[in-house]
This record gives sequence, structure tokens and C-alpha cells, in this order.
Amino acid sequence: MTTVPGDAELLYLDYAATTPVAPEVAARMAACLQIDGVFGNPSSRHRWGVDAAHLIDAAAGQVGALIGAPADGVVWTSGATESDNLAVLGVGRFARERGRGNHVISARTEHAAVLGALEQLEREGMEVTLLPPGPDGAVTVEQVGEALRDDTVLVSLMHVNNETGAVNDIAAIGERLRQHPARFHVDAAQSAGRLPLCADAWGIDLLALSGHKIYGPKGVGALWVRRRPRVRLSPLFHGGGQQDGVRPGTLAPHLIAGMGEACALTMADMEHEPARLRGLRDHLREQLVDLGAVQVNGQANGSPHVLNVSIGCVNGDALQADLDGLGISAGSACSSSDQAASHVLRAMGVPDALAHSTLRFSLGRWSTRESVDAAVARVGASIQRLRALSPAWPRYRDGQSLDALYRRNPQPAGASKESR
Amino acid sequence: MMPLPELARAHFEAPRNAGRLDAATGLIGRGCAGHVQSGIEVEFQIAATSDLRLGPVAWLCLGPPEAIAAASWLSEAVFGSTPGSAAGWTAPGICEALELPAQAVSDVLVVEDAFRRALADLERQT
Repeated sequence: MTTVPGDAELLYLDYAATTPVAPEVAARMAACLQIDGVFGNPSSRHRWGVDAAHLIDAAAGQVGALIGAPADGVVWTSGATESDNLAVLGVGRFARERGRGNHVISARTEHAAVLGALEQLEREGMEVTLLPPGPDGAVTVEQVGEALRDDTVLVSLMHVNNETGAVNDIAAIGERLRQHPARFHVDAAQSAGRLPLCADAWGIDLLALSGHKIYGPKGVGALWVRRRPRVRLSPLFHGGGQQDGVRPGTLAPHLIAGMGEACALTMADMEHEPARLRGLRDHLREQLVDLGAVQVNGQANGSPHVLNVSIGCVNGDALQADLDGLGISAGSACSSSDQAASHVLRAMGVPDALAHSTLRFSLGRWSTRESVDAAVARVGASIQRLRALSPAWPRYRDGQSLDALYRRNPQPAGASKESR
Repeated sequence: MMPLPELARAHFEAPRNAGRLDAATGLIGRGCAGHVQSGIEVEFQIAATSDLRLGPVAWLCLGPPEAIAAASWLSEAVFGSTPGSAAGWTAPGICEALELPAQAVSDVLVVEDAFRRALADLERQT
């Protein structure tokens, strides 16, 4: 591991939003940019093109190794948003155009990249079932099984939720889907490099990845598409014939080499890094819970890099203003740049006011015990200051629960399917 | 988030008169507005002096920075004034004094409501 000391890195705890490019990745990318590097157009048949094509094949191998799947299924994209759109729209449109079905299953807690693509499928006439999560933020294999219909053509679920770190049991869901012709798409943008991935063995048909979540560059991602048996999908773009026409456009050797290198680095760290992050996350959680009136959102043992907590008895905007300069996601910023309450926390039954005072910490390569402790000290001081001003805090100390203070409604029945 | 204007930021970062008044202070008017569930709740306590002017004012606020700043600023602004003149402070006026943007008025209205209720409670007792 490369150590980058300095205050600027110490309090960056937002690795689920993005990661800095690893120095090894930057070096690999730099070697592709100039006249003496591998800069060629991979479609060209001269030496420069052939060298670039070889580089891209090698990067596909690095991606395949990380996700446990054959490299020939890798389709390069601009990032996970495009990968998700290509999977959802591509599979949905391909099936519908051929009369193979009209129904898609997903979850209310999915990333906007999937939910937005599903909304587009609905506008085009397809039916979408969004499964509600349990209180821990995950959906179950039983829910998926109950929602399946004869005309279901796609099940799209994320492996790890970007806001809460909740982990869906992808292996079990994939096993269930072996008995059904529906394709299985998994957004693995947050799980890659943090949890083991076995795309082939788990019965996944399409798997989305992002470069910048794993210390690679922004602007590149991948969609792994099963070749055997072949999964067909309609392209989003047209023209050119690159990548078998599934995603045409000249490939960017420097970005792809960077993503490949990032996958290799991440894979090399898999033996130790997830356990290290899990230890830091547990330490962080213990200290935050000790502040009192803190609700942990998600699974007790979710993805090792994410911790989502709602801070009771303070206002989210005040907390966010007080924490200016600390690299964490606060309030609605956990999910997006608008000011609406998080759709993920809403789906989990978290009241809006409590969701608004939510902090997401996400740990990564340069997170240390010291940076975690420094962040907790900063957050703790802010919470203490704001609670000293809060009329709700004395009521909590006098025994009123967060449920009573925020008038939480009971969680709606968990296993039923819900259409939008 | 929009950055706070200088005066508002000063009050948000170093609020004045936050807390509750000692019950032994004498006549105290109390008023509350808002609710935790809506993300903003404000409480005011206003003491009266022997010549029936406003004495110490204390407040608590669970709310955005604009509301905290408004409560802090108002608690200083009304000290020593008559109830009648203190009642002249409205949310738009407080926002103007603190140079807060128009969208802050809805939050500052909760501050105004709590303050007015405390004033009314004080007047009932006198």
C-alpha cells in the first residue's frame, strides 16, 4: 500500500462517492498518453493499434479476474451509470422488441442510475416491480422469487448499497434465478474490491463496475456481459462497430489501462484490506453510537467500507454547515445533490427529519485509525454544540426515544411487491 | 448549501443567550413553535424587568443555521425593549437584518412564532 501522509488526506472519508487515483494507476495511465506510449486506436491494424488492443485485452483480463468472470464479456463504458443504463435498457428493450416479456424486477433502494433507466422502460410500456427493503436495507431471495412472473425478463439488484452499505445476497438470488429465463443484472460499483465477487459462479448475466470507485480514473467503467450462454442486448449508441456494436466508440487506452490496473491493485489488496476497513468501520461505529441518540442504518455487518448513521436531536443542515471541510456525505448529499430526503432511507422507514441529519462515512485506502478518530472528534464536537442548543436533546435525555421524538411509523409489510 | 452572510454566521458559530432561564428569574414568558418531526423546533423564554421591559431572553433551536442565527440575534436585539416594540420584529425583518436570503423566511417564521408566543405568555402574566 502507498502511504500518502498529510492533513488533506486525513479527513477524507467519502470513498463511496469517489476515490483518488492510486499512484500506480496514474503511472500506468501516463504511459498511454504520449508518442512513446500505448496511445494508438485499438481498431487500427498497424503496430500502435495492435499494441493498444493488446493493452485493452490485458485490462479486460484484470477486470475479469476481479469479478470472477471470463474476460471476453467485458464491455468498456464511461462508468457505472452508463453500464447500468446499458444493462437495464439494453436487456429490457431487446426482450420487449422480440415479445419475450414485459416485466422487470428491481428494488426501491437502487442507485438512481438503475431507477432512472427503469423509469424510462416504464415510459416505453414495460412494467416494473420495485421490492421494498427490509429494515436492514436489503431485499431477500424470497421477495425476488415471489415477484417473478412468466414475463419477467430482467432482475436488477445492487450488490452493496452506496448509502448504507447493505449487502444483498447475490449468490442466493442468482441461484434462484437459474430456474427462470430472466436475466440477472448486478450493480457492483460499491462491492468491487470490498467483497468477493464471483459473477460467473453466482449466475450473474450482467455486472456493472466503475473505475473511480476503486482508485481508477473517472470516465471509465465496465459492463460484464455473459457470453455463454450469450446475453443479447440493444445498444444505447449507434455507429462504429467497436465492442461488437454493443457499445460503439473509440476506446480510450489510458482510461482502460487505468481501470485494469486499479482492478489488479484492488484484487491484490483483497486479502487484507476488507478486514482492515471492517475493523476501522466497527471502531467508528462504536465511537459514534457512544455519542447517544445515534441510529445506525443498514446491516450490522454490511460492506466493510460504509457506515451510515442518523444523528438525533440536531438539524441536518446545521450539522452539515458545522462539518464544513470534513470529507463525508451529509444529509441528502448521501444520495444526490438535491435537497430531497434519501429515497433509500425513506424506503427503510427512516423519518425524513432523521434522514436529513444522516452522515455517511466511507472508508478506503488512506483511511487510518487516526483519521477515523479525528473525524469522530470533529463530529462529536459539532453534535455536542448543536445539541446544547436543541430543545429535543433534554427530552431525549429525560427518556424519550428517537421513535417517539420523530414519530416514526411502523415499517410497512416487508415482503410484498410494490409497483410504481 | 448557500454560505451564510457574515453576521448570521457569527451568530450561528457563537450563539448568544442559548439555553433556558432560571425559574427564579421572576416573570418568564414561554413560547414554542415547530416540531422535531419537521426538522425545526424553537423555544423562547423571555423575562420581564421591574419596569415591564424585556429582560434576559433565552432560546433553544433545533433547526437550520439560519434559524439558529435568527434566534440568537433576536435574543440580543429585543433586550431592554418594550413588548410592543419587540412585537414589531417579523421574519422578513429579521432576515433583512441578518442579510439572509428570501428562502430562509420560512425557517425564520418558526423563530418568530415561538418568540410571539413567549411575548403573549409574558403579557398574560403582567
